[in-house]
Amino acid sequence: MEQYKYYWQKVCGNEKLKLDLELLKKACEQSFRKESDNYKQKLVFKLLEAVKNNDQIHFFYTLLRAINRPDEEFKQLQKLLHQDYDVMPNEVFTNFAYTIILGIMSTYGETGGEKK
Amino acid sequence: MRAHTIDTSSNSNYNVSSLQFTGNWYIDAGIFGFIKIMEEVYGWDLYKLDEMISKDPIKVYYGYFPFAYILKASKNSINKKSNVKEIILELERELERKTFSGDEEKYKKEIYNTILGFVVKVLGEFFNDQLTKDVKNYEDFIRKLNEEKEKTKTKIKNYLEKMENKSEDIKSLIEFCSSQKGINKAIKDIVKKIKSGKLKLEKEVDDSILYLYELLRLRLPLESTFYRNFLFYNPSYTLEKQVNSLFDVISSNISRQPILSFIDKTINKFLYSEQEFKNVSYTLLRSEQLAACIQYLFVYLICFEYAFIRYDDMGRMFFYSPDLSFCYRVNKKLEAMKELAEEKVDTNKIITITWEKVIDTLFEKKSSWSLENMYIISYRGMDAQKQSLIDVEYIGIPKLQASFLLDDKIRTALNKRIKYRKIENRFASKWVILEFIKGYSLYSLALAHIKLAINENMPLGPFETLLYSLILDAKLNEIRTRGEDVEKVIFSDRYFDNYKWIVEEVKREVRYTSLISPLIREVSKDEDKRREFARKLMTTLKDKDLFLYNLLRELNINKTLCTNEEMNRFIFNKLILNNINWRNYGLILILDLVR
Repeated sequence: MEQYKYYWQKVCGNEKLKLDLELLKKACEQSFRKESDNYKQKLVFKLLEAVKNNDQIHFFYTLLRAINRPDEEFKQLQKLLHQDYDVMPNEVFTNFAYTIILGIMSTYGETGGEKK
Repeated sequence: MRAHTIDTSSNSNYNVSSLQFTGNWYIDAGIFGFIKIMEEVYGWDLYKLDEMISKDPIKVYYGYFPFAYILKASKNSINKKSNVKEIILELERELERKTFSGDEEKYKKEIYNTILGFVVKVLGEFFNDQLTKDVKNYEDFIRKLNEEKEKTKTKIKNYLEKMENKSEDIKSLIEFCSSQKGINKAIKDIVKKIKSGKLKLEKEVDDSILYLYELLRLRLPLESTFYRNFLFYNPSYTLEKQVNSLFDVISSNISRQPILSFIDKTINKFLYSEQEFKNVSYTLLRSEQLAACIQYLFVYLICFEYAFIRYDDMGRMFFYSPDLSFCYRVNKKLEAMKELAEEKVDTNKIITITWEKVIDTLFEKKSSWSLENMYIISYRGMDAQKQSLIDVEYIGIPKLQASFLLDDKIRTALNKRIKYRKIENRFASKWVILEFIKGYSLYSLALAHIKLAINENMPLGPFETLLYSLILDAKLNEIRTRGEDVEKVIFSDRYFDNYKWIVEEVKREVRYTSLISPLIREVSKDEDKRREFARKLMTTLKDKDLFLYNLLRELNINKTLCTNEEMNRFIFNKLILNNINWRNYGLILILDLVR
């Protein structure tokens, strides 16, 4: 699936910007590792609802609120979002959003970066 | 393959060394039909027939063939007569004795006439029946004649006028009849009577003339769904005319039978009609040119319909390959298998066996070339009124599809029928391989089937078949959109690889998917809940957003499943990142939920 890795591509000036979903997912996994399962589950439900309603504003509001932490783990994700945050076409947004959600979901049952 | 050679020497018939395909499918189908008829009647296989032809083509084409053809095209009841076998043996002995005298035309006639005697022998009973009927008709006629004395005069006059035109016919018929050996006694008597001068054709209305007039209607009981009015099939043709026209057909005598001068719908229903489509051929290709290249062209053309094997539920089918011996082997095996399967009344078996046999033969012959150049031609039947074919299909096997079929595992998986629709308590089903060859989407077939299983509680078809169909469909779609268009491959080295790389990719994908996707069953231990979930996913298959929403929501409730790294990666790679064929993988998940 190498060819789908960079899904969203746009041109800013002379520079090509790419959306690397793989990287995004990894950053998400890294960030939410230490959170409790219940917290994450609630967060995921909220995010899912936002995507379903195609509400980009609400989605980013919820997400940014969740990662608004000074912790080291969130740095990478914040950096990525800083790069990629944009009003995206619907199709791209869903993929972007579900990647984040799946990233969070894959960390259930983990605390302190170690699997139980 | 060698083409038929055009030989300009005087006794050209002796140069046809063996049967060869021409590369033109309807002539080749005819050649195959010819081989089949000969095999059926005399029990010769292709090699024996070849041998016979190279020994003495005239004996085969003017002797053995017309007998076999008339027998085959006659009404079924005649074929089943018990003494046919003895007559055939006798005929073979008789023909064996004939030797080439040096005069080709004379030799042809001699052989042909010998055979006709045997035809009359076989059909004797049938002729007798017809004659008795005719005698009755004649008696009725005489009785009526006596009853209505007033009108008799004009009737006789009319009749005489009619007979005036017929007298030539009668004379030649008498000659023809007297030259026959095995001819029916009743006919002989009349011939004797006429010869002894008891009858004067021009003046008297003699009993026997009337009888003879009826006799003129005596004809070979030839019947075919393919031909209605074609030469000897024409109901108005007399026995003699039938016999003569068959001779003309064998000898490609176009000058005497102008109907043969074009090869069009008259002779083969698969062709266009010369009157309806005048502009189809740019040059007026007359059959003379073709007949010059292919000896006995019309012999093959009239055998066309016998090349097809009849399947009860699929109509008539012919597997054509430009390689004669391959085509022969495949069709022969299919026929044998068809009989076997019919005994067990299992249509599914026919289908399963069909491809096994084709591929087996391929491996024997070690040629994928043959499969790639194969065609399946099928039609359901003939419309007797319009004289046109119903449901004709020409199915070629593309190179890409051929490479998949050559793989045992994939072929076995696809070689199944699956149900896809319910019409009034009955289900319609489709043969997956055929759909694949035709290039139809296997996804929609699988979707329809799984839908049926979920909504109607139907038993689900073989998991392997559905999995392979979905992955195959997904892979082909992926390759097409990836830009590695199959057509582009033609100019690369991969072309000669026979698409083995795609086959490998598909198999790898199947291995991977069949390992991961069953994990989705962990969603719930309760079967009803799983089914409910599957139904929910099914309704959202059209919308990727909703599908993912439903899937992830369910997984979010059951937290353990999405922490499985493989499952997580599967969803990410195959569903989220994949915009081309995520449906195929989604459907695989659904399939796993309900199986």
